[in-house]
Amino acid sequence: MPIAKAEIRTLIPHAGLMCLLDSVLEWDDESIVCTSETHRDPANPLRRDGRLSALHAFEYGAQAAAVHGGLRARSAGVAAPPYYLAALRDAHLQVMRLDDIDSPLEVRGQRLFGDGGNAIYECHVSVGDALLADGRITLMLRT
Amino acid sequence: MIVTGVRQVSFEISRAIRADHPSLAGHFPGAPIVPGVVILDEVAAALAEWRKDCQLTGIRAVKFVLPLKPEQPFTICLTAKGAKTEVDFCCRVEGRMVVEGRLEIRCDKI
Repeated sequence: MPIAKAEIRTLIPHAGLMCLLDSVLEWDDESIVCTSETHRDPANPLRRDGRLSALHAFEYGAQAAAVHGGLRARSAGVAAPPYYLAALRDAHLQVMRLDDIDSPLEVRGQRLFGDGGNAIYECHVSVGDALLADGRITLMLRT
Repeated sequence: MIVTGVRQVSFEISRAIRADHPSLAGHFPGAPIVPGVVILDEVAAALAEWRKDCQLTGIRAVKFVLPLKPEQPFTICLTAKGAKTEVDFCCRVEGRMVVEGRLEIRCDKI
């Protein structure tokens, strides 16, 4: 049973249109798969001059990782800690923009490191079989 | 600005993210912090202004060292590396580093 946007909003502090993911399709302790169509929304708050740069794929990835942190915290019976995007490494862009992609984005996160506190995720943003962007995202606790 | 031959090896520009930027209301309610990707978008725009023949293909690494607040003026500095496919960048507020990293670029003309 997918996790819908209303529930995603309870897991991360991102509000309004900045909550970019539409649903969590599946997750386990090590990984998460989310989907979103907000990249096509003309009101997407990350658009600049009407275009959504492919760089914003990393915000989709960071939010997937943060949702994963929230889900893990919840299943451990603790409050989801507030994470922020601290670093990004080995990030590649296969496209220049996301707003002209007609299909839903698939946003995958694989937890490489981290337990409760800081965490590193390998993130992939793709559409169908086509990879759009990938990179390693470091989330840190907001202090 | 340092100039070698005809090609500048560095580029600097000042920017600020306005308080009414649409990302800030939800990032985060009552505690607006400029999203890292919005800063990266400004860095990419600076690159496009400096090297019109180049496009951004990736980010080797970026570290968000300190939070950037709305309306806070910051400078973006881009520096060409020996490898023609890399550009270092940093963003500073009043001389303090807030973001630093290395971009991967592809250029039509070398």
